[in-house]
Amino acid sequence: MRNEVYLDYNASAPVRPEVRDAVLEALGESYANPSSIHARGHRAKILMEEGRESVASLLGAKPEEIVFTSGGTESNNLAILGAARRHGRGHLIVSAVEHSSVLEAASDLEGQGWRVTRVPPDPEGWVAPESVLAAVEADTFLVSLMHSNHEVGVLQDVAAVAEGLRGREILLHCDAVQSLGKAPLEDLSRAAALVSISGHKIGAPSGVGALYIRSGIELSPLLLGGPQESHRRAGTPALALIAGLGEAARRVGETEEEANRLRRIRDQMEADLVSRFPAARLHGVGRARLPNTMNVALPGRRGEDLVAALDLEGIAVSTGSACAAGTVRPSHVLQAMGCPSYEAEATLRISLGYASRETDADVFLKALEKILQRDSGSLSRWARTDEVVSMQDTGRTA
Amino acid sequence: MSGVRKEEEAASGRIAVAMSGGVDSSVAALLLHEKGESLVGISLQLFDAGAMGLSRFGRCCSPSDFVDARKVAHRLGISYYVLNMEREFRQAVIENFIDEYDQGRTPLPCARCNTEVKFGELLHRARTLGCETVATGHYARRAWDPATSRTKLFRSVDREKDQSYFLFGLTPDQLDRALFPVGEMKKESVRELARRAGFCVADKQESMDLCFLPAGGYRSFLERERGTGSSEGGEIIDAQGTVLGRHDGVRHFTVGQRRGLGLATGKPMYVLAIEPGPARVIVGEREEQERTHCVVRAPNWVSARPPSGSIEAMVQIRHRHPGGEAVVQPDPGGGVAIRFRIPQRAITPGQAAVFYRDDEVLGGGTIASVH
Repeated sequence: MRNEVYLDYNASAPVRPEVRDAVLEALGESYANPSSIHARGHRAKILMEEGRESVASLLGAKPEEIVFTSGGTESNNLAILGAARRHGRGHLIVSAVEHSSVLEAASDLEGQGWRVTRVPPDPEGWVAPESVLAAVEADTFLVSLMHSNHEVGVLQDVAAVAEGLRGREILLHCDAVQSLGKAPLEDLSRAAALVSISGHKIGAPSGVGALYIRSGIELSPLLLGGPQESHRRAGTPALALIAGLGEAARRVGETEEEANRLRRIRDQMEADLVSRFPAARLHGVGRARLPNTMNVALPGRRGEDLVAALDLEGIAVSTGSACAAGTVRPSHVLQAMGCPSYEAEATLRISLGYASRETDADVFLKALEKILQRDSGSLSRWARTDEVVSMQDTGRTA
Repeated sequence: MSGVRKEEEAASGRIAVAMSGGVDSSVAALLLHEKGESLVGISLQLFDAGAMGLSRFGRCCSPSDFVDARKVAHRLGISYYVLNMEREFRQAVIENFIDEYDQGRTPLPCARCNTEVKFGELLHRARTLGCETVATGHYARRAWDPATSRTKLFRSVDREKDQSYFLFGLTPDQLDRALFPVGEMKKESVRELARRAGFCVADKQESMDLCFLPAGGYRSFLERERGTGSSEGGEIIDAQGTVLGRHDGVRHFTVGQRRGLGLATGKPMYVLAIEPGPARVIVGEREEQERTHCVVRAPNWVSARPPSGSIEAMVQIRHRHPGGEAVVQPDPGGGVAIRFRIPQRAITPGQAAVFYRDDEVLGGGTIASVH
């Protein structure tokens, strides 16, 4: 593999060397089924419980409140579908900028007789707590609000929603997949009854995640067929991956210093970008954000063309759009923020992480400058009408 | 070929290869790679196969085709990306396809895809990737002509597989930036090269249908796109005006069609012409289909300057038509009138009339009217 500047941590973080060691050790030494009675089983069980403790301490939770899953999607599905099936028909509230594993679970319930309210964000991607609370109905049993958005990085006010729901029989679920390791979450288990996290966003392998389920809360399990995870998730656990998740959770312990470091790099990169390319439009900057995420539109270019061109320069970033089957669909997050389609199509997401350095930002900006100097000719013959108007406004030839 | 050299020097040296996951574009990439060119493999997402009721697998633009293209790119060690052009394909190709049928014409979507998408949008967008040139797996040839200082388009060496008919619409600039590496080869040699290179697609079956049509063909596609019963029915008449039956919409017919007319005349009948205004389909017997004249309104002179007077050419009126000797006469409005020496069967509005001199494609255009 050639030299690479990796700026796509929100998609997946590189596996930390210490995590790789922990995973390999688990594969070698603790391969037994943790449900087995023999000594090897005992060792496996200990390893798993150590992982559970590490994850619990990140969320300020008790170990028995942590259920291991296959990742963020399963955690979100288990929270939404598990709560709904346990409760029976009723009303649930989600924000319009949730990850698709929340939105599609909600839509699936809607098709089966549940009612769903999708609360739109402001133009920055922030969901006002009062709009969420205003959507509550007599039979609302679940609210799902993410901790931070995966595309624009905007932090939601989960505490305010929790405060507003206090004293009501309504579960609050929080998808904290993008925030883990990037923002302090020790208080989150007091605010939300259900919290989703994922391993591969913090340097553990993909294929493992967890759902915090507050003591006393019952969900209908998605997987049946065994007593594992206290009957909340059947199936032999992915022990080596769980060992990796536990190790990664220990590594992200002190987030504040790291957050400040990433914020400095990110903020400098945004300032340089806007000064070099005045047409660039940053998304979400008007609200509190994750320190590592930058979402920017470069009107007149396609995000996916820029991602490919940057990749040819050895720089890995994402488009601002969700990825389906290797191709790009308009981002539902940017659409919900009222971002015009041509601008959404012109968007890049750059996300930093533990191995990012200041020099990465320089390399990125230099490459982008080189690419944007390339003549893109006139606008595409099949440009959108709104794109043509916008280009004329900024004095470019259409 | 000096024409190719010229652009390679002008470009930053990188070539975008449009890779469909088929054997031809895979070998196109292979040939350029062996010449030491710097390549980027690109597959075009042109439509959502699932949403259009197509099987998601085993067709162009299906995930499995992209996997095949990706594997070939990986084997060659070149970068590979999928670029989404669904909106452009719909606007440029699919909408035109439907409109043409509604106007009683038979569209030629592959020609439109070439000028508007592969050598339109892709050529445009490839510039951001540092590519000034797009290579495809088309069977056609191009060469620099020093005498006229322009690139000319020719039929491929494999006459059976020749696709130059679908490329008549390229502008001089598009042709300058196009490369057709397999146009110099026979299909069998292309497969042989693919086999030797260890490509999984070496013996892959060729796609014969239009990539975006479901198994039910274009009629069921039009029904789904525009809604059942959305077209107005009308009369089926013979050349004398005798009403022979009724039909449920002109979009379901194409000139030269024999099947599906639902007539009990005792003799095989063919569609001679379609009149979208009164929604009339005119039919006749086999011999009645022959015509000597047609008109092309806005011809594109792909290899040559527009002629000042009439010229002799072999004119091909559909894919796999052997061509007929004809006089191509420019008219004052910028169009041309074509007169065949021998009457041709089923000259079809909407298809292209492409003018050849030996293997050279002089130009061509969409057939507007026939008489």
